[in-house]
Amino acid sequence: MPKIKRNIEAAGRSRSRSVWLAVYLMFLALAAGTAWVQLNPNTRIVEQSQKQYWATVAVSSSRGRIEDRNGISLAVSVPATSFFIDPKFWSPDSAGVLTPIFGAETAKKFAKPLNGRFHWVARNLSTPQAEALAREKVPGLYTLTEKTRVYPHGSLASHVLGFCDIDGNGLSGIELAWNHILFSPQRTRLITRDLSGRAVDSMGGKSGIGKDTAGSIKLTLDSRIQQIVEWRLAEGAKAVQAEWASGVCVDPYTGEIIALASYPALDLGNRKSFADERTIRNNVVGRVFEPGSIFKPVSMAIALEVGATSPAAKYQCKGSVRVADKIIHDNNNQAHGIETLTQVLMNSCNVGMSTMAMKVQRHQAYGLIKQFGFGEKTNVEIAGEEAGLVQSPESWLGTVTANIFIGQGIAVTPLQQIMAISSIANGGMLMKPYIVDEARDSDGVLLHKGSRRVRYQVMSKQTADFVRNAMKMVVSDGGGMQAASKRTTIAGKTGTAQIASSGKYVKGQYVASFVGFWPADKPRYAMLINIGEPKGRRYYGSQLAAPVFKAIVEDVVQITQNK
Amino acid sequence: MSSSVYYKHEGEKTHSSFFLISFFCIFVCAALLGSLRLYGLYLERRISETNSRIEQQKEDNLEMSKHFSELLSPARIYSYAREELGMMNAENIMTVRLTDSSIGTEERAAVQVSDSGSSFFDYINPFISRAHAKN
Repeated sequence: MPKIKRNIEAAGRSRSRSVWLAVYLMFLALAAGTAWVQLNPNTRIVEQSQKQYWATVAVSSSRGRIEDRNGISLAVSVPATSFFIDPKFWSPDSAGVLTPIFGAETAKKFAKPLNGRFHWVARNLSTPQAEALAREKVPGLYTLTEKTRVYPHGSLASHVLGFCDIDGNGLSGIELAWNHILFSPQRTRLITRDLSGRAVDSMGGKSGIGKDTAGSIKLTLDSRIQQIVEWRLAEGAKAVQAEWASGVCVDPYTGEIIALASYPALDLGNRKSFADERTIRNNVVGRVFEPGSIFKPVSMAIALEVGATSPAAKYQCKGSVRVADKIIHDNNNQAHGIETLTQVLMNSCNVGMSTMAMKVQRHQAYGLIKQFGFGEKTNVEIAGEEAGLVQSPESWLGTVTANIFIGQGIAVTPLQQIMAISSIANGGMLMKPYIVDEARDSDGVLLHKGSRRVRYQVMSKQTADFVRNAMKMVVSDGGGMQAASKRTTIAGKTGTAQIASSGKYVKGQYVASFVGFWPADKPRYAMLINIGEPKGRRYYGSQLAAPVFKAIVEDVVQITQNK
Repeated sequence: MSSSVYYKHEGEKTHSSFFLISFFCIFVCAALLGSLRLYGLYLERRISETNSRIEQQKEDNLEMSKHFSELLSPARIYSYAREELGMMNAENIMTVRLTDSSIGTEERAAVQVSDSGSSFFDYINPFISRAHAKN
């Protein structure tokens, strides 16, 4: 009997062990199966689930800051809200809520059944607009935070700064030329949906992973002087209904661009204005024009350098002079009589300059004009620069040399012209202009430092001093008296050039200019003002550009007098 | 025979305890792992929240930076000076250099001069604060 009992217990224990073993094996199989599914999932199922619950969206990231020489931000990126629709949870009947903010056209687009899982509705909306719509909590309509480019000072320095597309890629100006520093690659946002279809920005809390790599740019611009130049230029241009205008102010000793203004101004907040070619062009670097009489100081310097004239030389002006087969006239055929070299410039005498030009060999003149930087880009760090036009000396036949000496038959950009005049102001050195003072990476490491660079010694100091004094006399006693100021001494030269089209000068179309520097004895700033194609009877540089120049100088003197 | 039964019984008792201990250990380990996972999730949530706050602060900083830049706008300062503070243009101030031979140094003096021939551009003169100070 005990034997039988023992056998029953043994059988019971054996069954117990089998149950445990079965449970063990079952758990083991489940664990192995789970591990297998987790570690080696079926790709088709993974893709399907990803489509169902996730959406990967590329959104713009923070773009680098642009600031002026005093550290004032001119362009920054700020958060903005974008809206998208998930058709799975979107009802076309809800499209009406889009109308007040996005318009009927957008609402109509989403009033029909949609395919896929992701459709942009609008991007980079301002906070008040976005909040109003987000409060509605429309099923299927979700928000996403992006970065949008803003220019805190409106249109200030708009032509220098340029603009970006909606994804933060630079399209013009500094934004384009320095895109490699300012641009931070788009960040991928992984949008996860919960059971109710609400979007969860799962990358939002892990910004450290997608760290912005955008650097920053510090410009040589002074926003105060920039503002003054823009205001005065716009006033001057509007007063005569000019088609275009430009103003550029530089430090003649370093080549730093202090202010650069182009009219019509570009409204960076209104993207529709970008379609207007007239508005979008940066007239300082992107427009070429015949300089007219503002080229005469350069011509005179060339003549002095090659020995075609001397400070003691005298010229007789009878109002016109025959050069080769043509006659070059002075303004209104006015005869200036016997003139010294300084008086030739003071009277802006075409006859005197043409007589001087006849003694200059064309190849020499061409070489020196090229050395002054005309006919080639200055390589300033702004996109869209033109090279201008200087014909090769082989084609300088007949009156061409004389014409070029009075500023005709040559096409320059305002920036080239001001750099050439700066060389007169600083004692003969042609400087390379620059507008980017510093470029830093996202960690603040200095990548580029703008610095003073002398391109050529284009004239001797004696020549520069002579021409500078002559330009000073132009303003104090000559044709540029409208620019004279009691607050500082100005040296300058007026210019009025006709506009050529299809090989002929267009009647009634002029460019009025004034170029100069101040204080005349030790210049701190050099500036060129152009007013293009003014309407009305007044079109001379002395009438239109010189008063603008004077107004700017007087404003600038007040804010910089203690420096 | 009885001795062989005794030994078998002893062996069975030892095996059952091993199972129990193993089960207990596995349970404890599973509980520990579960707790660690939960704690990990909790930490992840905390980190996520902290990162969100950092992100939010960065965005706030950007907004404030924009606002700060707007406040420094020359156009705004000019408008404020004229419209809010009632500041007027100081067109009657000029700077001249005087050489005093007895002292031998160059001085600047702000001298008031009459400026009857003011032009349109003279009327609008935004940058005047320094000129007022000199006056």
